[in-house]
Amino acid sequence: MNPVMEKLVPAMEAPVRRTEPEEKKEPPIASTPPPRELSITIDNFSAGYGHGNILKNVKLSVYDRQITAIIGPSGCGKSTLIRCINRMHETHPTATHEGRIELQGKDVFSMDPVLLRQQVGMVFQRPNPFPTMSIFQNVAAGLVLNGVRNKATLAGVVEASLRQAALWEEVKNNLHHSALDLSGGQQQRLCIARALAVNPKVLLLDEPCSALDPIATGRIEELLLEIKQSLTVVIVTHNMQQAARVSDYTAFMLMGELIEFEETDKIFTNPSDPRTHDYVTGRFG
Amino acid sequence: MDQFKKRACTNALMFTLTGLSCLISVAVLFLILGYIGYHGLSSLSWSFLTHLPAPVGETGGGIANSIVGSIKIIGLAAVMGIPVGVLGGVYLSEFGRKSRLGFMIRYCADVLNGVPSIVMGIVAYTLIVLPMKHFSALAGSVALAIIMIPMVLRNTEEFVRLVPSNIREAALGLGVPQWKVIIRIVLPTASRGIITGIILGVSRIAGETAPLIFTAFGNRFWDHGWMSPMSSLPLSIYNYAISPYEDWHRQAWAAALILIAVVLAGNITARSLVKRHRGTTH
Repeated sequence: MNPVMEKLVPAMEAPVRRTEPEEKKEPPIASTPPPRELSITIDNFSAGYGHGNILKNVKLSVYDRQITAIIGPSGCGKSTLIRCINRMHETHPTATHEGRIELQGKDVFSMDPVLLRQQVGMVFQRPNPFPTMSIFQNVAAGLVLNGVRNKATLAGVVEASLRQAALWEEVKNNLHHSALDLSGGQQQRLCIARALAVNPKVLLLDEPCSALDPIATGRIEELLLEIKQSLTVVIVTHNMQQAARVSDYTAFMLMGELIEFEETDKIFTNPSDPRTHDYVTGRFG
Repeated sequence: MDQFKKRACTNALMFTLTGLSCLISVAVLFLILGYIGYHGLSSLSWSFLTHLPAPVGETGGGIANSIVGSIKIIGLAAVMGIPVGVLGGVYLSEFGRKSRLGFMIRYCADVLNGVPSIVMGIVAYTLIVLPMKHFSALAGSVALAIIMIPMVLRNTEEFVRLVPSNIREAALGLGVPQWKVIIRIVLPTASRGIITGIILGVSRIAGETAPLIFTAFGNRFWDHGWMSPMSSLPLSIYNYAISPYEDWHRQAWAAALILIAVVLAGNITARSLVKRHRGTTH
């Protein structure tokens, strides 16, 4: 039953994907990209704390192996939105949500949150390596804590993940030093390596560079462009240049609503909503 | 300029006052250590540590049974009290942060913390000594465990709560179940504070005399197991100190020195263990 359902659900999703380009009133300029696989579909989704809603009826499609940036002024609900995708939102005692989020056609709210989070990794605003663990243990943590014991497997995954996060060359001789010995930028790349080590399908990044200097930021952006070959990336950022530099699609949010979701070029050169225009040109926010 | 002078004066005054207060508090410790050392060292000998008390009237004898008794009573109290305190603290911090039940437990623990230790002795006396119809080391351990639990509980809660939430989120975000996050990530991060609290709790009960007077009772010979009266260092100190014999007074000083040394040694060992544990990351 289950495998059949799994095959059926994406097939049922297919029409939604095909209608997507038609919903855009103005067709994208010149070269229309080929239709992409959907990774995450957010439909009619609201969420908040207690009685107030922070997100209101958000509808958003995230494409597979693309970088989707979510921009908007502080408090617009960007972080809440991505924290709902891996259900971190509901770890808050008064959190509420309503509506649907699907990961490759499967409703995330009917999945076990632990299994969901193994598929949807997250990198947070401030680097948060585990303070009691070494660099090696940090990267291996997701596997070790879920029962992987084989030393050769762990060593292989740790090296591969650190290489993917462009940190291997800097730490390969100090793998057993405390993770706290690293600089802020290195710690953030360590957190990315740690998230990649469990082999997720999606990587969510919540303002990953807001505590970093421009050089460290540049390295993280390079590595995001690298890892999008193999997984879907959703990045929340305050920095519009960053969104313009790294993302393929950009969503602009304002006061809990999704104002516009388009290819990044279009958002920054020819947005259809005047509020998007005002924001990306620096009139407010 | 005048304003500046006034401020500099106030600063100098307050600086002196704070420094002086520090000095006084540390000086008291060294005064006690020095005084006990001065009186106790002269009576300290190898045979004092390894022999039973001499029969009443004879000089000499040792406190071997009190040392062993103290270790046994405190050990059993720790075995009963530490798990309850630590697990309760984890509950308060991880699950009962804002709940009504959590608030009530926290409040009760604070009240229990303020209850005089002799009352705990009466409780253990009523619960265990009366039904069994004789004094026992077990009753003493229970009394000490009851004293220890609220201390360890509140301390554990404070230190577990101090673990930043972004560390928990990092672990949850990797797809790790919450119970594993608590055991493998949160508790190791807070381990230093938790262990310090346990050390403080054990040190506190190591010196408790009142709750043992009518529970463990004391014994001038080797004990006959947990269900029998057992000697302990604070009890011996008390009994020797209130006696009319000069020789016993000297032994009380020596026993006090031993008690302090044992507590100090325990503290230092536990602390260095925590340090070593955190020093190696492999």
